[in-house]
Amino acid sequence: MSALSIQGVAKHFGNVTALDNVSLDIPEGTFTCLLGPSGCGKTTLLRIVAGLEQPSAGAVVLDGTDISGLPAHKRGLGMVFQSLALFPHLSVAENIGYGLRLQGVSATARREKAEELLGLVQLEGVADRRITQLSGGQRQRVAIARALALEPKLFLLDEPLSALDAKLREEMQVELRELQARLGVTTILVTHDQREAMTMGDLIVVMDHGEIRQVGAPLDVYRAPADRFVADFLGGANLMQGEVAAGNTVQLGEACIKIEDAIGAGNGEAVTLCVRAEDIQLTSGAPRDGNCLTAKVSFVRDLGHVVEVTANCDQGEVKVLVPAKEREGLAVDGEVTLHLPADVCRVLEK
Amino acid sequence: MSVRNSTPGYVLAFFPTLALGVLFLVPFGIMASISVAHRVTGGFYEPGFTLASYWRFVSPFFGGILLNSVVLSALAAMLAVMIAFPFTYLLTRQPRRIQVPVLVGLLAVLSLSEVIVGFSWSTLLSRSAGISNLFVAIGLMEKAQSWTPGFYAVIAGLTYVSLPYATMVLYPALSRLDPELPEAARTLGASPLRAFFEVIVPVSRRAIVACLIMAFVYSLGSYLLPSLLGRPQHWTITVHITDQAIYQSNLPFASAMAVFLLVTALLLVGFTQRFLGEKA
Ligand SMILES: Nc1ncnc2c1ncn2[C@@H]1O[C@H](COP(=O)(O)OP(=O)(O)OP(=O)(O)O)[C@@H](O)[C@H]1O
Ligand SMILES: [Mg+2]
Repeated sequence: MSALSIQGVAKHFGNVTALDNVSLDIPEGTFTCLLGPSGCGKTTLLRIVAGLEQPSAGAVVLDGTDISGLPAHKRGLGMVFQSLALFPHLSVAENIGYGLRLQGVSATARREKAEELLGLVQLEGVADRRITQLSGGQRQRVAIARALALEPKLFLLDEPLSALDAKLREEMQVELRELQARLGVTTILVTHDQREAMTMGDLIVVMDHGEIRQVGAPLDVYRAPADRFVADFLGGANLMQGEVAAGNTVQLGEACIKIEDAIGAGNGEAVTLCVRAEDIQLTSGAPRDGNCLTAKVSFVRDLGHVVEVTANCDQGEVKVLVPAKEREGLAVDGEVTLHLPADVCRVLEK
Repeated sequence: MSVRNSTPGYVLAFFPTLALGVLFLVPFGIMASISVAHRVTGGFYEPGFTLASYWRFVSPFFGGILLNSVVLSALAAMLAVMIAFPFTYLLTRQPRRIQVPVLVGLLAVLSLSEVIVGFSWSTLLSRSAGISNLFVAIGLMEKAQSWTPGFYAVIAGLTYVSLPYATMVLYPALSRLDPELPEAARTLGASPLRAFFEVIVPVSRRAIVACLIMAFVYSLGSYLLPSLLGRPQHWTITVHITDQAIYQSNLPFASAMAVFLLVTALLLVGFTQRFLGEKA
């Protein structure tokens, strides 16, 4: 168990800036998810922590010690690679025991440890198989077991579940989270799947273009996105352009929307109003607080448990999730009134 | 689909069969029949059936040739692979703009004829104009020496001509190698050198064996370099075949040796394919 501190790390590949002055503190024993679109520098950051890539600037500090100059094989970190990188010429047990063999652990002790780890990842009875004789999900577990064999100070995973089918992926997310909680190992997982990040992370780090946009607990980031990018990337919020008006309101064309939280920007400034689809209600009459927009339904998608309504108003397209029982009477081209309760509207200044 | 499959199989098989027959089976048949013909000393040969030429294999003379051929070719093949493997691996880790010119350069070396390579080496290893003069100049040696003709001169020549081929055989396999494999070994505590020998080499063993065979068979078939850079005792079986066929006019014995060489090479390739096929 260890605490990690990334201090002002930058990485340039020729004239490509993969990371730009990234600073991040990861408390001991937490599960952190690095989340961001493709090419935003997640892998690069993880590789710099692992020592597989040298940062152009900045330092990586583990438990108060600067490890920036330490080569990868002396850092004592466990890593699960995107390709898994299992050794095809070795058996499952030999893969798991590889690091132990380098440390001079005896063959019987290695075997014992491998069996124990296979038990931990719920994959008994395959110790003597070749890697090619395993399914994708089984390989995944072997890769996790191998990375944990040396009881690493940090457990790093680069999109480890991306090759699995949707159902298995969801199962593995829960399993991996439980395993981490049991071992208490400080873990960093890279993903571009926000659901995955929300399922597993104690802490979510949202990245874009080599920069960190927001760090926080999953629900905090979801409920209070720091900017347009985070709001859109995490759960696809409705974003509407407007300007600040008197009385802590935002003027959206004709409509005037009251906001519960105090608005930082001054009157007349352009801001973005952010409302989650599940927070918008469909009403028939005018709501008491007057926070409403009229819109025309353009598409109705039945998802079973909920209905996703796409409607067009002056501010553009708005998505609304309503309970299935309110499906009645919703039709394409019908007029609807959208109620935006004051307590769910957030104002983004960027 | 059905349109494509409608061509009967025997029509499609016709051309390969014809090519194989004309280019391989017929010449091999002629050669095999000559190898069992009666030799007419001082003349040509007359048709017949005798295993006299094959019996000559069971002799210290032939055993010596065979041993020399195998040792020379095996050494050259191993040296070529030992140089080509790390070279090709490092090459595949470079950006494309470096890889392409190097590969083009290697192809250029391939276009050099063995004659040029042979004479270059014999000059390079000679006393009058060779590299030993350089060693004398920098004080490494007392006086210039001639290293050709000789055993090591043949090895040097054969290794040199095998190198580009070895690189070409290794290149596809090594450029497909998952770069995360050695990195995984590193995070588990292996130094870069250790990761090279314990992961990259064993993972590439099929390519290495294929490359060894290719270089071995190629060296075994080389006629010019052993005759140019070696003394008669360093001549490989290929040189002896030419010697018997052209200078000694003993076509049956030359043919018998050629049949033997071909069968050995085929067995070797078949054996390794079998061996590798089972392991994968
Ligand atoms: N070895 C390299 N040489 C040159 N550019 C690189 C190299 N590695 C990464 N990059 C660049 O750095 C940027 C960040 O890459 P990185 O692999 O960290 O992205 P990522 O967030 O992991 O993306 P993905 O989700 O697609 O894996 C990209 O623009 C990429 O092209
Ligand atoms: Mg990546």
